[in-house]
Amino acid sequence: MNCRDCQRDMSQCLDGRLPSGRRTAVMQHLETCEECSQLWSEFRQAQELALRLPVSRVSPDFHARLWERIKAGEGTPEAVFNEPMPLSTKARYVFTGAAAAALLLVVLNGWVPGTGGSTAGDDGELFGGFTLATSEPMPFEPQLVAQEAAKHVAREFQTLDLNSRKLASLPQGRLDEPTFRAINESARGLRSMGRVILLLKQDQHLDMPTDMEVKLRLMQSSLDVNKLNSLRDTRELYNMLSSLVRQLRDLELLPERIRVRPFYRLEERHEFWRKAGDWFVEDRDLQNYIHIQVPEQQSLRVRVLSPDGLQVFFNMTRPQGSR
Amino acid sequence: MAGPDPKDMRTQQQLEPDSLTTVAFNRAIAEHADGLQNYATRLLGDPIQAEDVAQDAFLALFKHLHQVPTAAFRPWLYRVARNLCLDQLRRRKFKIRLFRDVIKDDDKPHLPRDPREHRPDEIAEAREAQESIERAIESLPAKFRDAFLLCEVQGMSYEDAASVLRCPVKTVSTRLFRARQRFRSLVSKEISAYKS
Repeated sequence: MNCRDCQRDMSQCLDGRLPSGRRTAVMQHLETCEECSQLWSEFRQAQELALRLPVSRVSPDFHARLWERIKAGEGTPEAVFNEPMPLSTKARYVFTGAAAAALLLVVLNGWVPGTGGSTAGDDGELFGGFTLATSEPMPFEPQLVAQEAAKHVAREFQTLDLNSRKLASLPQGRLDEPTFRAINESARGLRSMGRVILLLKQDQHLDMPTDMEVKLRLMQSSLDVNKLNSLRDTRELYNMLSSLVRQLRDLELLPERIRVRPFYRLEERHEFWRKAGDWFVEDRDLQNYIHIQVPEQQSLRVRVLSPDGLQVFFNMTRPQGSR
Repeated sequence: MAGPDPKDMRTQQQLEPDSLTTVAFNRAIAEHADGLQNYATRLLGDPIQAEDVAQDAFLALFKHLHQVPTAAFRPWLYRVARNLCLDQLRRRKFKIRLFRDVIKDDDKPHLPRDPREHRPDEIAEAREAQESIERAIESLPAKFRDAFLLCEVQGMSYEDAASVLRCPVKTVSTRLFRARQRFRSLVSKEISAYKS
């Protein structure tokens, strides 16, 4: 290793980010080169100086004052999302027209509800007009999808736990239909949302600890619909579920254990939308639980789930002649 | 027939996070409030305004709890705080003042106590060294300073800093390296004193 390479790698070496081979090469060079060794020493001392800068604390009533503002319903300061945007990114948004950030502009500039292809959900009705479209639908971003899926896994896991405990108090024998349906519903939601997270992990959009991934895969295979259908006896089902819940207890912490990788390039986001759009179409649970929109070239599909279960779906198409 | 207003749905979600989320939020306040305020102070030069920025950042986080994974709270907060600080600076329309220009002498942050420092001249020397280090950070080019404040001073990972600054991890690594090179040469006197 020469001095130039060594000095270039020093900063990452300080932070423990070099692969072990390169780190060893740097350390070996430092043993033989006085100039680089001096520089390394000064880097470390400069770092120490920066770390020794005093750290002030927030005022003692910071927490209390914050909660007062939250309870008073204070709004988010406007400047929170005013981010300096590089010119190249602005240009990309203008020319591709498919970025999520362009959505609001599109909605405000006179898109109209489509007349063909709009359908209502089972219990829903068609919304006409702009009211719904301008009500802050969330773009189909991996962060949102992952977080909503993880939250759903955590909640549904608790429901499964509760239902499995109820089995212990039921008489032995064939399980009644309503209870079996409830358990199947939880299992279906868990499989579906678990599959989303595993797909995101597989496509390298998301990181999570290995043990969490193992537990998700175990959950997928154990809650297979055929397996559940074959266990209609209360005792057998209880034994299976209670053992599974014990093994998978950590899934309650899933929302805190996943981390979505940032997407820097628009092409990466497009690739995600293309794949994930298929999940959205195929997977009713994804539609049910995640309030999303899927950006496409010329139209937007919006699906909304209201608190009382009303589900609406409609298309927005670009008016003719618009950009 | 009109249906429920989805804006109400969102407001309802924002005001009533589940208990797990509330615990995570309170933990975030405990873990990040001081660091966030320190970071904003270095950008604004005013700890009182910086504390307001920290409050606004947490308020924004609360409003968006359903969108931000717990693991991403820290970079999200810093990104928001940075936006707020840059907005304030634009409004001020003057150069960033040195930390010591804004704070009165009796409001200066307390220096770490060193058992050897019991003489007034040593205390003054330590304060001068600290101010010199602050000036050195201040004089770094903006992009280098951004990476330096987040990674070196706040101890953030390259990935989190990249998320805050909305740039690739490699860019953070390069800027941090350059910042360290400059900083080292600016504080050479303090380094010599530190050695001795």
